[in-house]
Amino acid sequence: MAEVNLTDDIARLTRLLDLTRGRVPAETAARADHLLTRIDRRQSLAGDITVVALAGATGSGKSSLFNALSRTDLAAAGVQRPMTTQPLAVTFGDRDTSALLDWLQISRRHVAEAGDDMAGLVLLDLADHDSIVTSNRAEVDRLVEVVDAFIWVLDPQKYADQVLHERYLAPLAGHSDVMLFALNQIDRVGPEQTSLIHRDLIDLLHRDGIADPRVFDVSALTGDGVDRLRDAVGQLATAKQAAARRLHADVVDVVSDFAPTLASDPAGTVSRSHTGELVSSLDQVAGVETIGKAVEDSWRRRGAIATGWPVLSWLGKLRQDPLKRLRLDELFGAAKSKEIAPTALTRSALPATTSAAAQARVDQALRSVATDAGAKVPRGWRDTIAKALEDRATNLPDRLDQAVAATDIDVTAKSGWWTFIRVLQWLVLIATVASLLWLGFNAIAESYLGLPELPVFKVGNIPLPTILALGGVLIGFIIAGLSRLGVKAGARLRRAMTERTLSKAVEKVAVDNVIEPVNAELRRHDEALGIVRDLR
Amino acid sequence: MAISLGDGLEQFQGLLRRTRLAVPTPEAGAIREQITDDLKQLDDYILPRLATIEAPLLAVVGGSTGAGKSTLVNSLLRQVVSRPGVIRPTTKAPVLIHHPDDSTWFSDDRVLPGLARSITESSNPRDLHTVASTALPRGLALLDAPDIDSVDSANRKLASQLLAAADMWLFVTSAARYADAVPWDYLTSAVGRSAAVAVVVDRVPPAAMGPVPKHLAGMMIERGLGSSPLFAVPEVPVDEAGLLPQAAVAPIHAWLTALAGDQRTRARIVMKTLDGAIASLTSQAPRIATAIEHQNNTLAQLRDDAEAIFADIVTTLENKTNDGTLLRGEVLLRWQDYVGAGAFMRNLESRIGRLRDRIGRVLRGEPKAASEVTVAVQSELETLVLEAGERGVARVTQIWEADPAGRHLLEQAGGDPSRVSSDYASQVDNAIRQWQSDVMELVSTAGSGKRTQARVAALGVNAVGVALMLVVFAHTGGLAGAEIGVAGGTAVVAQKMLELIFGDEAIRRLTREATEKLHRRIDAVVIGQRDYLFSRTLDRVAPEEVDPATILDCAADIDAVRSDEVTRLGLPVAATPGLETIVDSTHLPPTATPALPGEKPVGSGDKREPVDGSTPGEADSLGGDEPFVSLEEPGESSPEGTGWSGGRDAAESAAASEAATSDDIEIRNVDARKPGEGASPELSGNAVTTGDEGTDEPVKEW
Repeated sequence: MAEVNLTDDIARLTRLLDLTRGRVPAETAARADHLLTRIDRRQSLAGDITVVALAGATGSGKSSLFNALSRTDLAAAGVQRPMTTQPLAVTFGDRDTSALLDWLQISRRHVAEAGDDMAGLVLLDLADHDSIVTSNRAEVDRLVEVVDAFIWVLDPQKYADQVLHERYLAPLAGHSDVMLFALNQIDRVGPEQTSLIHRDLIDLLHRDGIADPRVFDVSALTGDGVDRLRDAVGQLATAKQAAARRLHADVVDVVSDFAPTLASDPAGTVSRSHTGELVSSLDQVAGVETIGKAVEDSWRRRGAIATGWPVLSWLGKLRQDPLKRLRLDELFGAAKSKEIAPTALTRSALPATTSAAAQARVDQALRSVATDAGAKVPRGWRDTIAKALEDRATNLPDRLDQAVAATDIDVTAKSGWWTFIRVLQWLVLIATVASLLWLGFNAIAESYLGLPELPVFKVGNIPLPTILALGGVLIGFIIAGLSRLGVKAGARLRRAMTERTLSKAVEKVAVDNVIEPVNAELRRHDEALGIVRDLR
Repeated sequence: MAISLGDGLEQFQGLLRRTRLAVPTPEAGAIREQITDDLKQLDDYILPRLATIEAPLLAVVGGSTGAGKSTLVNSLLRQVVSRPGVIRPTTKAPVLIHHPDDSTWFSDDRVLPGLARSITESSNPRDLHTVASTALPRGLALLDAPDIDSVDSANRKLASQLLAAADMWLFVTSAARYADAVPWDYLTSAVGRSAAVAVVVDRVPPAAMGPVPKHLAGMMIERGLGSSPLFAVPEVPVDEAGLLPQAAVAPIHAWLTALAGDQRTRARIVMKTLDGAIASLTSQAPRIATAIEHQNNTLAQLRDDAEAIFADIVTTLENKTNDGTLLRGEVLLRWQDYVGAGAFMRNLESRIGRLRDRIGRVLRGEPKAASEVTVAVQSELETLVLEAGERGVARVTQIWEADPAGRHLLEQAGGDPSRVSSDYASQVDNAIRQWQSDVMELVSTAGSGKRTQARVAALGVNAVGVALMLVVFAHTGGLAGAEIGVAGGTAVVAQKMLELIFGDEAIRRLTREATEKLHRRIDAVVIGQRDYLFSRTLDRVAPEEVDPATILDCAADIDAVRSDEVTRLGLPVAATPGLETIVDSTHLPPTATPALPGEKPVGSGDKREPVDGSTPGEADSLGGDEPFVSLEEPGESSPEGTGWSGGRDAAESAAASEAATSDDIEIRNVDARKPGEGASPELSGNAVTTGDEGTDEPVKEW
């Protein structure tokens, strides 16, 4: 038998209790809490003393066996049922066990001489657990909870009683380290029958879950087998481990209670695909696409104004900037300037986050996360997750909005080549205008003004100013057209960048407010599961 | 109108059979088990017994494991019919022993129809091993039942079933067990339904023949069994065949024999037990009725909870669709795009006027079609409605999970009941599309006047329809006017436009109609999810067919005729307990002088007469010459003599018997080792107490 480390047990049970509080049924937690108190108490009261109780049915001969084991005649044995109603204690050796017995609430106490073999032992004679005197049962139940070791006294008539096996032995199966079984009254049946019963009893005990029961055939009447049982009890006492073993078994027991409230496998964390789904839902709520579209449109507008044919491109200014329409220019502008920090109070005028549909989308997305994560854990945990997310759902649109507002998006940015194109457009325009003036001047110079015509160079037989004028217009349009392609590409790029940036911000909100709380709960669950697995 | 008892019971049986209690209410499990037991008892005992009141009395030998039931039965019959063993539990297939002449009563399925008859020993607990033996008198059958307290739960169940099917219990306990709680639970329940009981305390160590029966008698008196006979059988070595010495069981044998011979007493026992069984059956009625009601209430509660949640969700949803919040999103953007509420349009409107469209087209591309607004409306509404349905189902399942009955329903549902139906999205999609066509329909048929029609045509039905949708979303509580501006901002444009086309009055009506249609459509799909959840859960639970009142009425009918029936048979129920004792507990305060109650035939000479007279053959067949004095024989039959070598002779016994006829009760024991000691009463094997009243016709009287 391995040494038990009760300190470690206590630490783990305490941690388990902390982890699972509010997530497991109150009774389970209360049992664990109660056990911790009991361990503390028992340890402080002569932890090296071993309290062994003789327990059994009425008429199995507990008191006779008590007398035989203690070599006293302290316990009254008789034929009337039930006999013993008050538990009786005898302490072997000169250790002071009064505090311990006070705690056990046993008032009938005796001290017996002990050799080395029984020193440090307190032997209890319990009342029966199966008679109609219900106070006896309650007393037995109380003491079965707190004693360190048991001798279950059985007899050929009663060894298969349902009450004994279902009510006591099966639930205590984890305590087989500290349980001895005395098949008493073998004098009443022959040796052959004794061995039959012995085997049958061991079968029954196996069925109760006691893997390796130590069964002693004894007769308190004739003294048969009593010495061997006494030796076994003495060993329990001198090992000084029974109290710790019993408590360890209790810890294992209580911990097993937690198992049904935990999943059978670790829950892990929210999967990447679920996170992805959440982020794309929240992107929609945050208006990432709307902003992206606006940024693209705005870029194209600015690009068109900058690189268009100057004669017409001013008209573009009459069209409202899509960013302005969403009032994003102010928002992002403010965020950029150093004086006004990207304060959390800034609200975008983005309609998306305040609409009823936005809240609905958020609710939907969070519920989906809660359902997916909740499917991996039992109800208590599922409820906690659902609750946590429900609480956050109302704030989430605001947080998304703030995250968007805090994102650094340059609403006035331009590309360098726009200026070059603009200069070029103007040069072309100037050339065109100059040529037109030239042609115009020539047209009116001679007939109206009487001035000589300006010389006209010809390229082939078309005059140069004509080429320049027409070409200028044409080139202006061509440049505008080609630039438009470039601007379009730039706008798409811009939009992609913006959306990526915004989506990152949204993802951060999603992770901080949704995924992380859920993961924290799942980790909590997994840690609890780990403790339960370790201890069982 | 009185019905016959048999009809009443059959009707009751029918009601019990149809009672399902499928919902796990706190008490349902226990009541269901109770009903199963009741039905078994009706089949096994009450109905057959009522039909054949003259059938032999069936005494079930039941009791604790290891108490020696089988040995006792074998010893009574002087033949091994039931194999005892040291391994607990022992008896497997119950053994029914009857006189060969009575075999017609037991070979068919009259009693215990659920158990297959077997004429050989069987280890199958669903068999009934029948043994015909002349060792038993006519008119009496013994049934060796399994134990009531071993780890084998099938045994325990069967034992309970058999005990419920008995006319009388011969309840066997032992010196080590007589204070056990489990047997006393059975005995108390027997008292509760006034079944006839005789108690045998077996395996009493000779030294304990004094105190144990006395103590037990005291306990019996305390617990209402004061009128039941008590026999003590000492723990003595068995012979080679495994039988107790005849003397040890002689009192029991004699008592049984006497009982078998006394038609009237037997009938009284039967009627008493039967009456008690029926009374106990009908006394279940209120509990069953309550359980049924509770079932119905629980289901109704779950349904109410779900309906309340969905009602709440539908209300919230309706509010959201017309408090203007819907206008804050995509719809608004698209609307602005559409009507061109942007700065450019405002600027241009005043200056350029007609050129607007052409230039606008050049600068902004094609104007936004009204359909884009419809699409936005569709998508926003869809989100709202989808979410509402999902939330409803999730909330309901969450609430239900907290309740055991609800949890049970959800577990039965299969799949994940907290999710909406797979076609929900398409339902929502359809509903909103249909609403949009409703709106188009409304505006295209609204104005009857030519001018109105012309105006609608000019703007396009779609545009007007979209405007109406916006007004619907902006409306608060169906009010037009000022609120619109607050709620929707730009919905003012839509409102103005509609007012121009239709006029103030008509627009109000249109808005109301469109709103109503919207609510009807979306409510239907959301409620559809509730009903879908119901169809997977609540609707699968067939409602209780049986009306609680019917059960109560039926029980009352039975109770009414039960008394009549008993009166008709001349067997007063309430006044005369079937088993009455010669011991009068008033003579014997249990604490002061614990006494052994009710055992009459033994002892006094005049009692012997009817027994011997009526059943001489049986007495002989037992192999004992004189059952009532057989206690004196054990000295010879027990070889070791350790037990009870009391060499008492018949004369002494007779003297003792005479003493017993006096007013005082006398307890007679055989003391095993010290027969001469004055303190110990003399008679062993059983204890007799007599009182004067019972002495005339003791057998009949008990």
